Amino acid sequence: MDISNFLRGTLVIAALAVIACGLAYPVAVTAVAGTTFPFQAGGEQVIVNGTVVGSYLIAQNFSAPVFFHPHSGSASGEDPAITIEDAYAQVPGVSSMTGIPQSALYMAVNESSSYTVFFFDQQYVNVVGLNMYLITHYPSVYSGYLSRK
Amino acid sequence: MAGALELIWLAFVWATVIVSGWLLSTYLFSVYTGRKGRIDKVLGPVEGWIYRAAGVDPAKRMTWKEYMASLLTLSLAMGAFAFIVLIGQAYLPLNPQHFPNMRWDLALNTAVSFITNTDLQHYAGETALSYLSQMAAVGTLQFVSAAVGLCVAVAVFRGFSGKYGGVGNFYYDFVRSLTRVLIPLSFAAALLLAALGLPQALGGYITAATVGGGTQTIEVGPVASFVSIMQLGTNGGGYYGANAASPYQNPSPATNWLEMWMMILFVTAMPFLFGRIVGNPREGYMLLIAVYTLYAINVAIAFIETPQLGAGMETRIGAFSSVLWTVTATSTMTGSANASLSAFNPLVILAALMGMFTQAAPGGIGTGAIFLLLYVVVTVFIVGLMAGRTPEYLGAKITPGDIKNAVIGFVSHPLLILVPAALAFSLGAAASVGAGSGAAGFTSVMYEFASAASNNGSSMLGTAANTVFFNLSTAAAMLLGRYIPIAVMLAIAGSMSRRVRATGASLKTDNLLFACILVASILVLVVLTFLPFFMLGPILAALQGLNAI
Repeated sequence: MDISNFLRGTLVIAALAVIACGLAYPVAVTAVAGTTFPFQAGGEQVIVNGTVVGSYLIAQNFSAPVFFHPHSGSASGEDPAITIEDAYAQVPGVSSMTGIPQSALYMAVNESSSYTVFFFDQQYVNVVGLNMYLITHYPSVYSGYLSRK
Repeated sequence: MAGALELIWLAFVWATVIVSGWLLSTYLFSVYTGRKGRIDKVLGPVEGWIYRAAGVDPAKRMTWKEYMASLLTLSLAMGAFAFIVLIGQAYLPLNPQHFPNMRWDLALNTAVSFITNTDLQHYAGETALSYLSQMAAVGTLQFVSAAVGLCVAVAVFRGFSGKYGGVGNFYYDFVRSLTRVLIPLSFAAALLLAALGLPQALGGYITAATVGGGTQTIEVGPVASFVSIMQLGTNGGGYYGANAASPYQNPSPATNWLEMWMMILFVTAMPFLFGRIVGNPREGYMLLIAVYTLYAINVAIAFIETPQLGAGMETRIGAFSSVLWTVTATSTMTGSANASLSAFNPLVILAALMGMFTQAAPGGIGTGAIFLLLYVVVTVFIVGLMAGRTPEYLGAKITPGDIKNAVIGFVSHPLLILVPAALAFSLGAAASVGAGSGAAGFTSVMYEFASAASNNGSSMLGTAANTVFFNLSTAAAMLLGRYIPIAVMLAIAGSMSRRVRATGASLKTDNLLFACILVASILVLVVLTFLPFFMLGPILAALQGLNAI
């Protein structure tokens, strides 16, 4: 009868849609992305001495005063970005706590900054990236924070 | 106000999407009219196998009722499947975080939400959904609902053209929408998004030992593949609760603008496709001009007050991009969010509501185009009355039956917002989720149902609306808001497809004058219908000098 044919058509197409769109597609994307750009596909993990210490894309709690601080007031609560003005304002404090010259810190801030619309609008700085830059470039200052790992 | 740089940038983005939409429409035309190409060598046999396995004849001409019955049955079957996965995910594989089963009313809301292309979410994906639920349940529905949207648009276009002997065959349209359009495009876009930093992994969450001495959960998953179809298919359901504000869903300006571009692509292609199917590209250009005029008006309203970076916005995205995204996501019925709606001044909320009330500026994938044709039918009728001539569109007479159907489609929308919103306040359901009776509370509850009824999916209540009342009432609004307009437009198209076409139409619709009349008539209809909603909500809040919530 027509109804059973009709239902068969619906169910077969539904099942194939699940297999193609819900399983094969995400698994294929995972396989290709995981082999082609594993760093990005893995969530841009920050790895120090073989340990995962966070992600470059997700804010984390840099509570010690030797670090630049993110702010948790925005929509996701995970934004690693602060405005460049905010980063500048933190330079004197970080400088006095670490002994790193202010000029070097200003340069580090500028180098890790970008614009929200490529070439205009707000300039921002990724705090995780900036702090990891400092950790790599000033190992004597920051070694204490990583030796605990 | 926006500055010169912002305007130039916006013009550039729109220009690239319009050119791409035009190119896409040439491809879509060949997909839906069955023009043979090299791709048939590969996909032809695959599709042939699918039709045989399903026992369907893709060449059979369906009546509009058959088309409607097929799409509705398939949608309900897919929704039922997703519902079962969600309420049973704890017993199913690919659940490394061991998330429990979803409560029945939330699972019902979620299944309905994704099958209707709404993607209203009363849950946060990263703490509620297993990988299997994200991929096979809601992920599949993002494809299916987008494909159904494309099918409906093409069927209605065929009917309006009168050149295809009916509205077409649903299975033919649906299978080809997936095999030739949505799966390949989503695959390419997903790889691009993954390269730009969206995670794509199935190994479970990672615990990081942070520099500050604490621990942090790194919530990776199949995000790029999810976000790709979510944006291309104007779905808008987030992998994460924070949606595109989450750094993993939208890590940088590059992903922000790519994702915004993706949500406008298909809805821009549809008017072009209409022009091709009816055999007069100019008809499509005029519809596109009307659509972009309405969209630009919404953008202009949102930028009356210069946006300021503030709480609820992401610093890496910035105020300009947050406001433009929000207007775009509501004008296109995507509903994704890269900032909290509480961050915006009432005029941005008003612009968002304008998009959701109009539903055709440009509207959702496929459905935006049929809403536009609904307005065209009404406009042609009104102009016909004023000019004292028989109303005609594309040479076919507009009948009283068409007008009846169009009015049902149009009037159902305010009813689906007003009735449940009134119930929410009178039954105390609004108060129970913290929505007071002031302008802000009214706006957030009305916004919830406007979003549900228009199949948008953005929300001011968010996970707070995870109550039995809101889960069931918004599910009803989503279902009726989706399938009533689809049914009435298929009915009009089915009947128009058989009508005699007059040559030398009485009203020319392929010129700028008609585009202007269309825009004016849409604005009058929408503003008159929804004026009380605007007054009690965002306008009152703006006058009080308060934020909308």
